[in-house]
Amino acid sequence: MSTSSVSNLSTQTAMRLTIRQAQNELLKSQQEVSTGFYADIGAELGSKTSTVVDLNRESLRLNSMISNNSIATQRLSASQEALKQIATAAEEMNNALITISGSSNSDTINTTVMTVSNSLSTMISMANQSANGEFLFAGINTDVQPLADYNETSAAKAAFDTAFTAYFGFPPTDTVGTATIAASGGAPSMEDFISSTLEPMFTGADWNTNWSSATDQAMTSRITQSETVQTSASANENGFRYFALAAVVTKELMTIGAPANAVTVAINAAIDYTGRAITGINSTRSQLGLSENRIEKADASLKVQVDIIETSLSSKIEVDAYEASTRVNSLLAMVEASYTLTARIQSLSLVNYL
Amino acid sequence: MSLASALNTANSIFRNTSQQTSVISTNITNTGNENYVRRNAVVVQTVYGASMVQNERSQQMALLRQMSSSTSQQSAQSTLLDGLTTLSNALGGNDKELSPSHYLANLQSSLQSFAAAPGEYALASTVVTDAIDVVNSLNNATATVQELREDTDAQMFEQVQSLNKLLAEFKIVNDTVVRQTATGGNADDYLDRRDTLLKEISAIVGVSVNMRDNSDMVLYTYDGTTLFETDPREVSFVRTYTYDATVTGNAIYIDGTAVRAGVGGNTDGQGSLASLVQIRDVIAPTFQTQLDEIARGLIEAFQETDIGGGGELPGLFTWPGGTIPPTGTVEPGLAALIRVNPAVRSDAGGDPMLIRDGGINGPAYVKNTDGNSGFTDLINAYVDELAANRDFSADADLKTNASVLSFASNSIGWLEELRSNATTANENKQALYERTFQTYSSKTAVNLDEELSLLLDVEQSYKAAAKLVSTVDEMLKAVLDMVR
Repeated sequence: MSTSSVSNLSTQTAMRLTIRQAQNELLKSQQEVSTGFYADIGAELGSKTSTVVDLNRESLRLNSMISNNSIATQRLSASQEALKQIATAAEEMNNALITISGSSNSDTINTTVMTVSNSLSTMISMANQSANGEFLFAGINTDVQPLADYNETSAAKAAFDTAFTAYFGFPPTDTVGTATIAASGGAPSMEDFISSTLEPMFTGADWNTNWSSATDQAMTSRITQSETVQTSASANENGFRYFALAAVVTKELMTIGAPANAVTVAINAAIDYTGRAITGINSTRSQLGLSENRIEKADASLKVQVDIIETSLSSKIEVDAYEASTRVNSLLAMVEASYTLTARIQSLSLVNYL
Repeated sequence: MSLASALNTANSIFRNTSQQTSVISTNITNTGNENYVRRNAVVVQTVYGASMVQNERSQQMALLRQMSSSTSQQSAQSTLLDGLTTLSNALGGNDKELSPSHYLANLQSSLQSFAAAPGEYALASTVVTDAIDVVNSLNNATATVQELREDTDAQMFEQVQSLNKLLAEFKIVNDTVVRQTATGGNADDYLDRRDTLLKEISAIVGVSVNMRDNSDMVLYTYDGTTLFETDPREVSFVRTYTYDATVTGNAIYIDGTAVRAGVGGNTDGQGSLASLVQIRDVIAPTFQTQLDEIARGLIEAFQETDIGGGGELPGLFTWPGGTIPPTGTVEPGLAALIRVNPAVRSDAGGDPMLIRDGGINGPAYVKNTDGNSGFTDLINAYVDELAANRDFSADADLKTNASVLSFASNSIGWLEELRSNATTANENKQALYERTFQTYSSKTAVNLDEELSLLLDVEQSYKAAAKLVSTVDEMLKAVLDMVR
């Protein structure tokens, strides 16, 4: 029976576990000090790791929402700018028309018609603005130019001529016929033609055939997890329709040689439609403004959410750097002490004294 | 007492000291041998008055049992941890950047970007690329899981082979021990060998040790099957070479009883076999089921509906089956089969824009009937479907009603929970093993200093005997001189 309860093997291996554990711990702590995160998040958190993964994903998703919102914001501000120009053009058209109301001077009327033509082409070119390769006012049909130009060969012009001829029984170029057009009263008259034939061509389905290839449905963007807003306007909005109508009335009905009172009826109708155009454009602008406002608020709330998520994420996976570095120091001291002890113990042997 | 008897006493001292020296030197030789149990040479008096040396072996049966038990626990735990680490590594490091969950998050965010600018071909391609990443990560994870099962199966085969070899050797050694003990011979070296074998067997399968007459050892496995009783019991295992999600491996039979799989991250299995069975038959298949369910959830989330009532068909994600697998039911191996539909892959002649428009399965499935480039309804619907709760099979061992996204992250949580438990348990069991080893070796191993001091004792008694002989010699010489 051995008298002592200690063997060389047990003294030699006494420090083995201590040193190994300390070295493992040291490795981990060093990594934690340098990265600021747990060295092995999975082993540290266990099933809570799924929360970390969820939070990471949520943070990625919110950040991508914020950056996607900037696309919508860009589209909205480009649309606003274009609409502003269209509104200005409508104002100019309105001013020009008011100048000639009550006058039958053909020079003034011609100047006005010129101004209105310019306004119309401004409107059409603004409505055909694109940003990031998308036509702003095309509704969701963003790869097709929403409004066609209005000229002698355009579908809209042909449609007008056909409607005119069908209503009056003679084409607008027939000056003999046009001189006989009655100002108002039952059909055929200028007033009746404008309100019952021409206007429906713009406010009804013909608009989409002759003028616009935009869809009524506008672009929508999801700006938060649950909120979707309209982020573009369609060229089918009333503002555009009445703008075109006012311009067509001016261009086509004032210089065909109709009697002065019939022209006056046309002028008044054009003024009326311009007014409606301005109202329409403004209402579209305020609608888009509301969306801009919503996006701004959504961004703010998304940023707050991202902050909250980042905070709770870091509270889960971050280590106290101070604690970790003191741990490294004490571990280093411990490992050194173990080395010294092991060396001292190993050198203790009776052999040295025999 | 005559001078002759004094010489005889001196003789017996020489005999004893030489035997003691031999034992001590054997002890010293084995100072660093952890499988050597110290011998003690004690001088005893026989009833007839002779003094002789007996060898005693510092046997510590209770500590040996502890040693064997802590060895098998530690071996089981570290084997399990290795398997879990392999699975966890397949998902990437701390950020799990190779996991399906990570790639799903990317897919979700690229779908969102596509919804913000649905006319952009590049964004549609990004969605397809991200979908391919998701599919690849599912495919790769499946491959890793099945490789792990193959490797585990191979390890089981090796361990069963070495267990059989150890048992055969155990039989020889045990027989010798019994014979030597019965005939009063010296069995010490065989006892050492038997203890060593016992420790090696414990690492493979947990054993409980029973002692019978003539120090005959009987081994039972920790769940009660006889492993060795006079003869080794047969340990049999038929290897399976290739694994996929539908293959079930063969059980290991000890004496006709299948080895039970360990349970939990802090496994209750003892010996590496129990853990290997646990990895191959419990953990890896469950993880595979989770991957399969993620794949099924994806096919379901991106399915296309026919407006005319032609039924649902797989959209962005598809598989060779070409149908929507029944909801809430595992389709084994789906994670290895899932593909991105070639109809949207531009490298396969497809059109990524079908993600926006629908119609991956033909014109009847088109949602964007007017071909508007600003059409976002379908993309937004996909984003919603990814985050929408759906039913998953309870076999996956996770929450059964969850979105694909959170199901994928729960799967990571499940694995990490096991690994975290296994890591802690491994540290504890390692510490227990070291502690037991420490105690056991304190009791049974050699202390060099002690042996040296004993050697000094022996040296002294040898010197004394030598002195005795020379004195008797002198005396006899004096007597003879007197006669001359």
